[in-house]
Amino acid sequence: MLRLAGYRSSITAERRRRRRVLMDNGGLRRRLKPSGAMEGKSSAKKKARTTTSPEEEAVPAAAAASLLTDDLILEILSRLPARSVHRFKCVSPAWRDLIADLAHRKKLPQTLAGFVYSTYDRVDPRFQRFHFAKVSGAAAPPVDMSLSFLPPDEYWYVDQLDTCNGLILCRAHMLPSSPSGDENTPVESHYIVCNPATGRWVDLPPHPEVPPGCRIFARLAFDPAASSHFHVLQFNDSQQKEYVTGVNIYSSQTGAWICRESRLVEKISLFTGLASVFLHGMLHLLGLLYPMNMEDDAVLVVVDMEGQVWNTIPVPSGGLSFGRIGLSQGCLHYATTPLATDDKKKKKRKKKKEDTSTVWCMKDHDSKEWVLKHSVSNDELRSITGVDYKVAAFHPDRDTIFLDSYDVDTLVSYDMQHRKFHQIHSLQENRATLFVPFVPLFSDSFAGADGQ
Amino acid sequence: MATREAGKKMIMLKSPDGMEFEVEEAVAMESQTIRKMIEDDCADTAILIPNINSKILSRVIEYCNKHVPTTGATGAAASDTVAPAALAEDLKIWDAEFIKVNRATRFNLIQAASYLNIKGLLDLTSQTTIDTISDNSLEEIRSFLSTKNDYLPEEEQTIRRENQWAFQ
Repeated sequence: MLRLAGYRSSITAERRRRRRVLMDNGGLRRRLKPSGAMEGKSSAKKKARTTTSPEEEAVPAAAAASLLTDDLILEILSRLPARSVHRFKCVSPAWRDLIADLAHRKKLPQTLAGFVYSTYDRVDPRFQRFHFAKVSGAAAPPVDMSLSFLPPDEYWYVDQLDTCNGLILCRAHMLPSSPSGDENTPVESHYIVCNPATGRWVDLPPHPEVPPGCRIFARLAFDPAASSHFHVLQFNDSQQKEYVTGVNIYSSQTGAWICRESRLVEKISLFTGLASVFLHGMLHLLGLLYPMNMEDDAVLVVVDMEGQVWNTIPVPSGGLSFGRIGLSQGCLHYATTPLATDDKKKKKRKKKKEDTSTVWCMKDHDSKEWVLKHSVSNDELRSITGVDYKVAAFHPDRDTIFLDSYDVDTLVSYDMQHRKFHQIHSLQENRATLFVPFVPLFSDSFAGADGQ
Repeated sequence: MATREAGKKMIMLKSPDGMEFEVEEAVAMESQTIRKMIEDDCADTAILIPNINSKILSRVIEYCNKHVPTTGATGAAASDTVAPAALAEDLKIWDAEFIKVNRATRFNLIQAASYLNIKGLLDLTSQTTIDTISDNSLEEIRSFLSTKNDYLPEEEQTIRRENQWAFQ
């Protein structure tokens, strides 16, 4: 009975409320003038910010916001950097679910999934094996990094050479056509560009011949924000492999290779084992002036996609050290790690006390000016981790760098803001130097891909 | 609104609140949705644009009018004297002025641009919204987009902890 009474009273309250609403509507006409005057006042206040007329202000923004369907919110979010998208998960559970929904990953920017790296083959060190180090903690959707979508019976083996914004550049070696077993017959090979997130790939037309004995050094340039087309750059060296003399560039737009000679004033030999950075339509690579002196500072070589513009940018001086470039938060980064004292593989270290790793950022790409972002002494690194580490790569969205050890096969992440380490992954033994961050790309914006 | 010029085909657009807008076919075809209707021959007399009131529709038409590629005698003369880069710069300034509207109008424009499939307008309205909110606090974003925070306190703590890096 009590409940019923309560129920009835709530009905009456609802009726009363409705009546009030009706009255308010009825009273609207009478009160129009004073409220209009008030509105004039409030819009005058806002005039400094917008140029809206008072009548437009009358449209309630909340009602208009309800026009923003999930699709439209995604449309807006898709223009944000991955970092902001992650922050926006905290707006509400509805937004969190919207962002986490696998069906929407095509539209939203992704963050670091892991690294592609290579090891030397135990049996024949001329060959490299390719591995993927998944970054733990990242709720990365599964991506087929073993590239099992490539037809297995068509290729003998596939090398992974580079990755850039979600695409992977491979070199496919064809099965010898005649089973003659003649070891001197060169194995036919060509490039493949593929997207492991979508399983699409494209075979490139035969690349210009590489002189016998020369190592293939090729890089991929792709930026889905700028174009669905990609470029593959295959660099040419001088006869004795001392310095770069030119580049062959494949454009997926023209479907053809062009050959360009180097326009560098200096003779520079490029580090073939290090990651390159594609930014503002230019490929950035590290190299050393020829004749090589390992104690010289590295030089950044910049080349455009027509092979017409060749520039060099100096990098911060680091003495005898490991230099790495990478892209983080839209800016070019450079890190240098002084060579460890007990590194027997390299020349003996200078006696100078330069045992601090530094991270530099080129905030304004036009100024070519490096700004010191962080420095950490080797002693500090060693006191926490117990072993020597060198900077291997940069997180694309965070102020985090990844460190690779000389002695142990562990990948460590280092949060520069909080000076904190996390051991994140065991790596395979016998590593080569290539270590490239991989961010999956789920959209189909990859021109020319016809493989399914 | 569009002025009638000899030889130019005109299209009538109707908003649900009964207003009619006569625009050049080329201007209307800036909208891929309308273009498809015209190409499919579904638009002999007038096209009713549902869900978009006359005030918003008039702004959309204003945008399309400005952005329609200039062709014909007068257009060709104009592009001969003005460099394409200068034209693009001029459009940019015009866009920046055009998008100085209140929140409600902007949301209405986003919805209209999406429905009518006008890529440039959708880019402009979405990007402006992003520029407004990308550096704001969560509270400001919620109030800007009129969304409620219905996280339980412990839930919010967890999700914030997981995404802590994105706040730094």
